[in-house]
Amino acid sequence: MMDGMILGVGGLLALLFLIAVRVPIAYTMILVGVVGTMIQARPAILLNQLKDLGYAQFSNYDLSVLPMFILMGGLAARTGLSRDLFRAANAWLGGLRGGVAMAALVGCAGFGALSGSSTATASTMGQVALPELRRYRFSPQLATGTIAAGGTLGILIPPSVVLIVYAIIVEVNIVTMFAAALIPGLIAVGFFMATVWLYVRLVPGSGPPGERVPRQELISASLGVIPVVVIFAIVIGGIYAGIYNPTPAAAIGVVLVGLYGVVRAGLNWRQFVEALLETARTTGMIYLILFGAELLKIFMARAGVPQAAAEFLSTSGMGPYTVLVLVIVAFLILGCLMDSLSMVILAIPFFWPVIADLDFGLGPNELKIWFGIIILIVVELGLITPPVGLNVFIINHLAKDVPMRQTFAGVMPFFTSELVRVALLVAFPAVTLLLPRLLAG
Amino acid sequence: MTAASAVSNLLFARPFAADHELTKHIIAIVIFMFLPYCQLVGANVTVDIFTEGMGERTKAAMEVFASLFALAFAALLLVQMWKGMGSYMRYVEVTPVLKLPLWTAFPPILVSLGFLLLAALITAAEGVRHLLGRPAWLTAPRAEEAA
Amino acid sequence: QDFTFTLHHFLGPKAPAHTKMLVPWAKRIEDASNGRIKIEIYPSMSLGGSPPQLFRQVADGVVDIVWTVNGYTPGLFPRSEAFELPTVFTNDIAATNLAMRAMFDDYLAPEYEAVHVLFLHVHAGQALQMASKEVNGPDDTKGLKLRVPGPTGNAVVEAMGATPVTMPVPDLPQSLSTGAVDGALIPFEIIPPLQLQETTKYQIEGPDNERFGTTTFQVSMNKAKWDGLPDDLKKVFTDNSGEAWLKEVAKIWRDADNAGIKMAVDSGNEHVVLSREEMQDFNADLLPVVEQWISEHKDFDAREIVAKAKDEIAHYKSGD
Ligand code: NA
Ligand code: NA
Repeated sequence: MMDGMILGVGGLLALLFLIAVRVPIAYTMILVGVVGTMIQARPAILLNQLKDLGYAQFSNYDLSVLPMFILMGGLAARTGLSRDLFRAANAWLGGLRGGVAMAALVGCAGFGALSGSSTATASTMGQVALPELRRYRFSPQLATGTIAAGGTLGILIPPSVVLIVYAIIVEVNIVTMFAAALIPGLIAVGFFMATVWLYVRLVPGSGPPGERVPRQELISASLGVIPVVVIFAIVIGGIYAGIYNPTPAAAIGVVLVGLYGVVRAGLNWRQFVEALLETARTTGMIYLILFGAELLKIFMARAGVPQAAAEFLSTSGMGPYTVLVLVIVAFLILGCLMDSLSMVILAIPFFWPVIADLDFGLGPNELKIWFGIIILIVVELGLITPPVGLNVFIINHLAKDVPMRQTFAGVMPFFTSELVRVALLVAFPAVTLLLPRLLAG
Repeated sequence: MTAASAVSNLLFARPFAADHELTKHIIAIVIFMFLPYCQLVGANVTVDIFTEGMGERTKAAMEVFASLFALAFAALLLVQMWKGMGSYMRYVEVTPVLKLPLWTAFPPILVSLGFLLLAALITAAEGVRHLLGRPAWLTAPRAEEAA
Repeated sequence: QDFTFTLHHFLGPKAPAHTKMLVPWAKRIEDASNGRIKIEIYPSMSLGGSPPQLFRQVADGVVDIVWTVNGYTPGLFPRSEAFELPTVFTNDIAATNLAMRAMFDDYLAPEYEAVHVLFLHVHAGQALQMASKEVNGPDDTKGLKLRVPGPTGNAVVEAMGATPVTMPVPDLPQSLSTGAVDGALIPFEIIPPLQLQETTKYQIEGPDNERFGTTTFQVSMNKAKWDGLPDDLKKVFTDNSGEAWLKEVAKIWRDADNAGIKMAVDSGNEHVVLSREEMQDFNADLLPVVEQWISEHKDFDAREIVAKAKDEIAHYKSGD
C-alpha cells in the first residue's frame, strides 16, 4: 500500500511536470496512466485493457450530446444572433449609467442560452459589444472585464459543456443538471449587473450612460430576440418537459440555429464547414482528455490513492463544510493554471468520492447536483483568474490596446460577486435544488 | 459526419428501440476519426503559462517531444485495438436490438488510428523543421472554443 | 497471503449486492483459506472501462474476478438467456440459481469457455413499476412506453403491446417524471437507490411474487488465475460458491426486493398484486416470447434448454 502511495504521488508530480513543459494535457494523462499502471500491475494487464477501452468509453450515449451542443453553439456564433441580442438589451438598458455594460451582460446570458461554451460566448459577444462600450467611453478596464466575466455565462446558463461532462463523470442525469443550473445562472446575471451598477457609482466616469432610444427602436430591437427565445424554449424547454432526450434536442437546436443563420445572416456553406471543423477539434480534444482521465483513474485506483485519501479524510475529523471549502480552494488554485474542462475531467474523479462520503443532509442524487453547480462556478472562475484565464486571453485578442493586467483588474469585481454567489449556494442548497425538485414532481 | 449523426438522431428521435445503440456505435467511430485532425491542427489543449518566456527553439523542441507522445500513443493503440478486433470477432458481442456485431466499429477506428499515426509523424517533422529554423508547412489554429 | 485477487464490478459500494453479497462472500473465502487468499473488491468500475467490458476484462486477465450482468454483452450468453425468459423464471430465485448450477456442465458451459465460473444467479425478477397508470392485465400495457431491462426484455415489452425504450438506469427517475416512459420493467430492489417511490405510483407483480422474467448474473474468475491455484484453495472457492451459498444469494436478493417494495408502500404507493387469472392472461401473451426466442437460436437446442430449465426449476422449487 505504501509503495502504491509513493507511486501515486510520483505519478501526480510527473503529471504536473509534463503539463508544465507543454505536453498536451490529454497525452500527459495517457502517459502517466499507462506507465503508472504498468509499474503497479503487470504490463499485460494494461495492454489488454487498451484493446477496447477507447471503443467502450467513446460509445456512450450520454456523451453524444456533447458534439451536438458544440455544433449548435458553433453555428450560433456565426449567425449574427449576438448582434440582435445586444441591440435589444441595449435598447432597454443603454440609457442607464453603466447601461451598455449591463446590456452586454444580458447579451452574453442570451447567447449562453444557445451556446455551451464560455470562450465562444466571450469572443462572440466581445466582437459585438466591445466596440460599443468604447464608443460610449467606458473605461477599458470595465469594458474588457465585463465581457470576460460575461463570457462565463456561456457555461453557467444551460446548455453547458462543462455540466454535461460533470454529469457523465458522476453519473447524474443531464436534464437534472441543466435544470439545476438555471436559477443560479440567472442569479449570476443579476449579481453581475449589480456589480456594474455599484462599480460605475464607486468609480466615477467609468461607465457613462448611453443614449435613450425611441419607442419604435425599442420595439423593433425587442422583436429581434424572439428567435433566441423560441429556440431556447424548443431545445431546453423541450428537454425540461421531457418531450425528447438531450441528444435529439441538441440535434433539433442545430437545425433551428442553422435555419436562423441562413435566413437572418446568409450563413453559407463555408461557415457551416468551419463550424463542423470547430466541432471536430473541440470534441476530439474533450474525448481524448476523457480517455486520459480514465487511464489516470485506473492507475490511481490500483495504487490505492483514492482509498487512502478517503481514509485520511474520514479519520482527520474535519467537518463536511471544511472539506468542501478545501475542495473549492483546490479548484480555485487549479483554475489559475488550467482550463475549466480539463480541470473537471482531471479533478472530479478524485474529489467527488470524497464529497460523496460526507453528510450535508442531502440525498446522494441531490448532493451530486448541488456539488456540481458549486464546482461549475468555481471552475468557471478559472477562466478569468490570472495567470491562465482563457476568457481574458480572448478579450486581449479583441482589444489589443488594453493591457491584459487591466482586464484582469477589471474582472476582479465580478470575481468577488461570484464568491458571494458560491457562498449563497453553499449556504442554501434549496436555491439550486428548487427546479430539479419541481421537475421530479 | 456530425451532421449525419444529427440527421440520424432526428430520424430516430421517436420511440425506436435502436436509437441508443446506433448513436453510441456511430459516435465512437466518428470520435476516432476526429483525432488525426485534432493532432494535425494542434487542437489538444496545453498549459502554456510556464513556457511563455522560453525561446522559439525550446518551444519547438517541446513540440517535437509532444508529437512523439502522440506517435507512440497511436502506434500502441493501433496494435492493441487490432487485437481487440480479434477478440470481438471471436466472441461476437452484438447490439441489443439490431444485433449489429460490435466488431464492425473496429475497422474504421483502426484506419483512423493509422491516420493519427501519420498526423503525429507530420507534426513531429514540422517540429523538427521549426527547430532547424525552416518555415512551417502548416499553420496551426489553437482550440480555445471548448471551455 | 499467497494469492491476491482483484474483484471488479459496476455497482456502488453501498449497493446491497456489494455489502450483502460480494463482501461477505469474499470475507468467507479469505477466512476459510486461513489468510492465504486476499480479495480486493473494486466497486463502481473503479478499475476502468464500462460495465459491458467486465466479461472481457476477466477473460483477458485485466482483473481476476468479476460480478457482471450477462445481458450487458448481448450475443455472448445465449444459452443462459433461457433463464431470463418469462414463464421460465417465475418467482423462485433459489430454484433458478440451483437449476443453472445443475445445468451448467451439460448445457451452459460452452458460452463460459473463456473464464472459470464461480457461480451464476438471478435477481427477484422484473416487476412493472408505473409512473401514473395502474396495470391489472395485458390490456393496460398496450400502447405504453416501457423501459426495458436488457436484450430479453425487448421481446417481453413488445409482447405486452408496448414500445421498448432503452436507457441507462440512472436516467429512469427523470424519464418517469417527464413521461418519456410510462413505466419500467425492473425489480423492486432498485426503488431505494433511485428513490422510485417519488416518480412512480404503482408497483405491480403477479401472485406469489411472480414476475415477467429476470436477469442472470455471473461471478467468474480469470482462467489462468484459476488454473494457478492449488487444489485446496480451489476447494475453498468451490465450497463457498455451492448450493448453500446460492440459497443465501437468493435470500439476499429477495430481502433487498422486499425492502424496496416496503419503502414504496410506506410512502403511499400502491402495490398491485395481480390475481392468478390476470397473471395467466399476461403469460398467455408472453408465451410467444419463449417460442420466438427458441426460433432465434438455431445453433444449439434452445427448445430442450427451455424444457430442461423449467423441469429443473420445478424440481428445486418442490424442495428437494
Ligand atoms: Na450555455
Ligand atoms: Na485561470
